[in-house]
Amino acid sequence: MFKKNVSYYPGCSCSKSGLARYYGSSSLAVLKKIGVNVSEIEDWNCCGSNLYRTIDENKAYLLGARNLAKALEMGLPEILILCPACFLSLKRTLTEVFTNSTLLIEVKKKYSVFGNRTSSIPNVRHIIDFLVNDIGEDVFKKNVEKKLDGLKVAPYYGCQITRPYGLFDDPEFPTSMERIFSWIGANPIDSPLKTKCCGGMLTITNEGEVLPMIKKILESYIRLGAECIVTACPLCHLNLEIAKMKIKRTVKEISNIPIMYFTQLIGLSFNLPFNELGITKEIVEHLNKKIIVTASLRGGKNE
Amino acid sequence: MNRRIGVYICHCGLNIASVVNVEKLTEYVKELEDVVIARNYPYMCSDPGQEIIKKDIKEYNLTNVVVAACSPTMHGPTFQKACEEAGLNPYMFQMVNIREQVSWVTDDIEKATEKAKLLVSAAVNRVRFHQPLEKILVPVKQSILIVGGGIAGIEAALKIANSGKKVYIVEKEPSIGGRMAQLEKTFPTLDCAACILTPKMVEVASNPNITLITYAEVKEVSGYIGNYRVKVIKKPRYVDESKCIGCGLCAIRCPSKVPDKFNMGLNNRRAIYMMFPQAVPRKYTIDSEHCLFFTKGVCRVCEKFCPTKAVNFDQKPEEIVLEVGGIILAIGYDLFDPSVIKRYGYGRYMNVYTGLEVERLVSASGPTNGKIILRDGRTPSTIVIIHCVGSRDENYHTYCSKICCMYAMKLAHLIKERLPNSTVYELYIDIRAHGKGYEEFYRKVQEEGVIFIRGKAAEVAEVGNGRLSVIFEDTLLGRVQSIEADMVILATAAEPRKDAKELARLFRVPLDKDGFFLEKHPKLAPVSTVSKGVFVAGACQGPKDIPDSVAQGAAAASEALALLSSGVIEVEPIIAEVNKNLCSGCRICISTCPYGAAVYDAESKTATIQEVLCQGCGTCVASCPSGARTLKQRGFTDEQILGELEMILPKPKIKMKAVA
Repeated sequence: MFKKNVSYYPGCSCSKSGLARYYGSSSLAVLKKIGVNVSEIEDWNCCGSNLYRTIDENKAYLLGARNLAKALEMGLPEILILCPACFLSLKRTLTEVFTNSTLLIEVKKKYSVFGNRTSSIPNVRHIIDFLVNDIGEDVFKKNVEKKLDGLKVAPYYGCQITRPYGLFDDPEFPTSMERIFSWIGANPIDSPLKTKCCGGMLTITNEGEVLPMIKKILESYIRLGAECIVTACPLCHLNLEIAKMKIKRTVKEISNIPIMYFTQLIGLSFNLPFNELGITKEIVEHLNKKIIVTASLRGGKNE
Repeated sequence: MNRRIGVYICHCGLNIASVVNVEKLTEYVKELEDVVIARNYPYMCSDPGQEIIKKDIKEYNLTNVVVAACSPTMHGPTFQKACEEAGLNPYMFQMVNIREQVSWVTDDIEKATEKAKLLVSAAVNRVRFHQPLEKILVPVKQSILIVGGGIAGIEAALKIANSGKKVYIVEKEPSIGGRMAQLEKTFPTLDCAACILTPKMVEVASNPNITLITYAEVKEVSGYIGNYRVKVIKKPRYVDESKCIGCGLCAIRCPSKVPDKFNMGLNNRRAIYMMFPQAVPRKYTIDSEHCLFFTKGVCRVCEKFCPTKAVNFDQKPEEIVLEVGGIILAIGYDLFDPSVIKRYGYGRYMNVYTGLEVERLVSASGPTNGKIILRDGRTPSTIVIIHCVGSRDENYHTYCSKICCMYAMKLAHLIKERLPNSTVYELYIDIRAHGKGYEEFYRKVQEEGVIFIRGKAAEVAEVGNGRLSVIFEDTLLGRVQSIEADMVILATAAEPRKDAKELARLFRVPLDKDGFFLEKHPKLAPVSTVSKGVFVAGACQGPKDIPDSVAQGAAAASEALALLSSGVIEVEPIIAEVNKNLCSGCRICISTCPYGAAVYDAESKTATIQEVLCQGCGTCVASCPSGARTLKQRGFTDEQILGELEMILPKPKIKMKAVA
């Protein structure tokens, strides 16, 4: 059995009360099943994401650095992050702290654990990176209980997972999620728009600009025959869902396509309880032709 | 010996004088031991500058000369010659670099002058230990080795062979011809490439002065200008070249199919193959990686069907040693692999092609006999050609590949010719049609109805059924647009050969920042290299079209011929020397010598250095257990080096015993 100890930073959206709480809970369930020992960072705070930085850059980094310090204090320097915005923000904080000497001095003054010679340098990891490069195919295949036989899955990465740094995958054409899908028996489709912008925060202020953009993405997925769209970002998920809700009256096929987190899909194949995955009745119904039926034929537990 | 040293300080215009206080330096130098005269002059290398040195040598009866100016690789030989003309042995001279190593690297006048003082006084102390040396004259071997049998190599070979000198061509592939053999037509005149190349290839094969060694690679190079010794490994063809008549019966029967590299993998060839119908030599080759006999130990069908019994599965790699006077490197170029630019989808979408693939596709001898048929069997009606793929791009190659604009337009012309109803778009950044008749060709292609859009493609995406959508910004309209196309052609950059690095190491030729062979001077010595007697020609020195490659081939040939016809060359006498009285004959130096110059003399039971082979690397000198008095390096003796160091290093507090 795979054994590993990591710390976990949920961030606002994936926390228990957050909008993407099922991204969080499904990820934890998947990691538990694999055998990864996950400890949530105690008393974590905001990652210091984009908006802070525009006002006071150094304060934003200090805010992020506090989370890193907390992880170090727990003795778990490997930090797992789900939300790409948190991931990018903490990764940037880390890079900045260790390249900007005045910032490092300030951070060390505030969080003594950074100055401690025995503590290691924090390692900020996105969950996709962790699952693909640390867990790997063999462990996955051991845990799959229901193969998602040929389910046509469209990955949607959005902008921040691999860009700008391209740390664990090609920044312009990532393929990590596709690899995971093939391990759990799904059939990833090649989608040219998978790294296109979801509209981000603009949905709030300029919906008229965003909707046609997302419509193009959704339509392209439908044209390519996708049976479900899978994201790894709370904001992408939210934007796609909002757009789907607004367009579904005009474009009928769109209303039938479930949009879910990739950990939820993995959870389905691992046969984890629906309540932990946050899989609603709606999604089950959409997918039932494929997953649920084939699973019940094999004697799955959840039907 | 009583030393009388003259020191000359150059201003180099303002290059040195603006940073180093030359007057102060001169005053300082005058006070040094044994210095009888010190002068400074605006241009020491000029005729009047050299005259001053010559006059002083005679007038003051100088025994040594020190010049503080630029790098010795620049004007060292100039001043050595001046000394020689005035009757002074050129090795009594020493040069100090106070330009590249002092004035060009700082603005601090004080510190620069101090450093210049140290360097000059070190050189003055060094020349006090200089001894006169005599240059060694060696005859030049009357033959040339050409590495690479592309158009540049062929041109050079023919020029040299026709003037009566021997030429060896070593070609990696089974046939000569290179990249040009893969082309259908050449821009801007649209001559058929094969029609103008193959006569030259045949001429190479039939010229008695040319020895063609195909399917072979250079493994080792030793020696020096005029006397190179090159070890070549000839890979086994498993076909006896003297017996094969090129009938092709073997290939018809061969059951093993392999993607054809010559046709860019667009179709299959057999495991026993001839590269292309006009190959020179017209001999078949067995590809041992794919031959069933070599992979599975069965078959041998070709052996049974060969009418002349030429197939020989027992052939072994053959080692050939060539002794040549000079070497021409003409290894050509590789094409950039566009699959690393993920957004263009090369390798993912079957209807995205590279320029060279389309070149084979439109070729009359290509996989489709010149018909433009896509990988999915359709005939395209909309074709988009994307320029500058991998070149003029900070992420890949920053340089302009020079040939792509023209070959992209040539392909557009050929496609229009074959498919008159098709629409061809060219997405360009700038059109660079720089050669004779090139601009006119650009105009002609425009008139033929090819649509030119200024803007680099952002992305190629598949929209279903093999159709592609090309997204780009039209920078003249200032609008993002897209074209739906059946075929996308990427005009990929030319880049250095994968093995250029390895060959550069073998032939001791430096590479430029992009990995091409570095010429000695970009304007005045375009085909020479800093490695004397090694010349470069063609696209291995930088992207080049056919006219330029041919011109360089001819230029390299004339350089090589000049070397051969000089008959003898002078070799620097800066080599190792054995003191026979002290040598114990331990033979350690013999094992360390990389050039095989140190040998054991059984009669005197001592080591002997063969003057002609010694390159003066100094390895043996450092290895000699009985020290520098036994084995010493002329021109770099311990006394000279320590003398130099003594002046540069801070003075020791304890007085050391003087050396020598």
